[in-house]
Amino acid sequence: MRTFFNPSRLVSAAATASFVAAVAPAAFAQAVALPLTGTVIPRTPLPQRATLMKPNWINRADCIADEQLTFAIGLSNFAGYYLEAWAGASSCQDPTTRTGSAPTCWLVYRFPPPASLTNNTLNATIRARDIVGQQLSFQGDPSSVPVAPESVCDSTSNPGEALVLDFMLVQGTTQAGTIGEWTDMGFDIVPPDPPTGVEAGVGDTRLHLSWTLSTASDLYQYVFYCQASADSLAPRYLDGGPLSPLATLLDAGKGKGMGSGAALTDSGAVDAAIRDASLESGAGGTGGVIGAGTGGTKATGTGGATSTLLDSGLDGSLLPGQDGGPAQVCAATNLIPGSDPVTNNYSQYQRGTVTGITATSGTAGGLTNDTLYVCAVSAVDALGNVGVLSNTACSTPVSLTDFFELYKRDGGKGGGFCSISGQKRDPSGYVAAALALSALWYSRRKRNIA
Amino acid sequence: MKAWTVVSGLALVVAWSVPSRAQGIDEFGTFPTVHEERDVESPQHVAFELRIGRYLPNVDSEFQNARPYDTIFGDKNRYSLGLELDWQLIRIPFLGTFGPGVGLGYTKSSGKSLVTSDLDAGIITPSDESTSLTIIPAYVVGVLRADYLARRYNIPIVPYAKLGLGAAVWSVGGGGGTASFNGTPGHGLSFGPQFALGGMFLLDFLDPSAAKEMDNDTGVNNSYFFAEWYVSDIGTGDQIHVGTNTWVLGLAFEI
Repeated sequence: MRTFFNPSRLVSAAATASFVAAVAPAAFAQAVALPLTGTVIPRTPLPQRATLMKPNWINRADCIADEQLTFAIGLSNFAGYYLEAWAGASSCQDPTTRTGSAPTCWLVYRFPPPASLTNNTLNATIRARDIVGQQLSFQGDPSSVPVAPESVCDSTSNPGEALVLDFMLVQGTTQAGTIGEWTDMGFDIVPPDPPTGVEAGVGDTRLHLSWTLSTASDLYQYVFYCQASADSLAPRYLDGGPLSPLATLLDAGKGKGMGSGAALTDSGAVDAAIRDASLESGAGGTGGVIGAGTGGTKATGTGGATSTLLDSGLDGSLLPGQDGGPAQVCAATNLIPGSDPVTNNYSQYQRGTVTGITATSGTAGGLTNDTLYVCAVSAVDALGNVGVLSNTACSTPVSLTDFFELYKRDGGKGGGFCSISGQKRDPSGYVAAALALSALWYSRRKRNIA
Repeated sequence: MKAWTVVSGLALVVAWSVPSRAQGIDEFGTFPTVHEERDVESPQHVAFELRIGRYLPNVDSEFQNARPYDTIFGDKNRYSLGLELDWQLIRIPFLGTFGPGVGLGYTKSSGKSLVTSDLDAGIITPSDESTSLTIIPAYVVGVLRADYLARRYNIPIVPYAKLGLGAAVWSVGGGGGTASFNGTPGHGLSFGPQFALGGMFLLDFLDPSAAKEMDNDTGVNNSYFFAEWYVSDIGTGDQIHVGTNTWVLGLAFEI
């Protein structure tokens, strides 16, 4: 018999109705979906940083380059809404953090999505400067993102911190639906201090740089910059002409520590330009004329950026000539202590790096022997901020003889795995020894058996 | 009569005391003591040595007048670390054990490269660039350990001798990696005979009960401190002489 009333159908219908009632609001609510955690956010114009260097964070170079970060935001039911992104040291989901009398979050993106989106995904491009700018004074429901100027990149009031970005759909002043919170964000716009006490030691087509251990906590690596001193000086000062008297003086064993202008003044015969430069640098107490002493191979350079040489604006010092030759002028046009290698585009002088917070030495390679180089070191922090140059150090790579070369020069015959032929040895001694031991063992064994 | 009684009593005491030393008793019954276990000493097959010693390679012996090693690295002591494993293949009655052994070591000398222009002028001027000579000596030797006196008469000295063939992989490092000269790479293999004489002090002698416990627990039959003099004539003819004539100290364990 067929019945018209089926309790089970009634229950099923009720359940379906309650499900629809529960789901329907959600299906029509506004929603924001962020890229998956761990995603490296595309950026331009600078390339991505290495994964170890927080590629989603902002450093000073990003800020100066006006880096744009593009977040792919999934949106639902966004018609009539603005997509906004707010940055803050902590969550911006509480409206008072955005529009209250004392806001702690600042607007970094506000744009109405177009009517149709491919895959309902909007590429929201956020300026690094707007994140760094922290322009709280513009808060209180801004109608657009205040454009942060480049000067925010030089701010020292807040050198850096971790941030969150909250993405939300807003209509008027009312936020609707879910908020997407991105936490892999922050900035650090203060490069590390340069290393101190940089010295340069002689190598073969390379210089061995050393410095004092840094106390900075977020160092990532050190970058070495070297510029041939000859590049920056007119040949007239390197041909032995005007500097000959000084070279003689230095080679006489008085070179080391000769930083005072008085000694040069007393020499009398020194070229006037040099004398002026020496006095100038001597008065500054930072550069002066520094000789490494005869026979020495290591020279420390100028201690500051103030000394000038040859009235040309160069920072430099004088080194003794080798083997009685003319003195060499240690100066570089570009590698000035305290100068910024990024903004000055010193990458052309980069000659090596060493990674590690505890590093105190490294090698600048790719140099030309018998050429005086001026080298400096800059520190790089964990976010890739490149610090200013250290003091400069001067030295000249020369041809060196390592142990194997000396061994071969002296007539040594070894070397290479193919040269193992060696002198033929008579193995009879080993055989006899083995036979003797065997005989001993055998006789003992025979005696025991007997 | 009284005397016999005393003797009999002593005999009983002795008779009672012997088994009492040989076993212990607890709530689970009797168990063997260390003395009893000594009678079932674990099998002994190999000897293992941890070695440290002075290592000054005989590089300069290749030359009549020049001393390249001394010039670069100086004459201060250098040291090596090493391991040796001996298979005590046979026991020679009234003498000791004999068998093959293999060893491996490591040593490195570091110095500074010299300024070539000064060197040409006869002046030794070290630079700031390091150069090094790394030697990994290895050898196969026959090892005779005369432990008969130690085992039979508790004299804790074990003289030994080793004779065999040594070889060493060596490499010279310069500022830019492995050194080379006119296309000849600064690495190679040298070999030659080597022999050693040494004496081992049986550490078990200092604490026999601990030694027995170690044997029971770990299978280490004997442990020794040893001193050895050895001559490694590695490198002859066209090979670089990286052998040495030196001493070595260490610990040895027979397992």
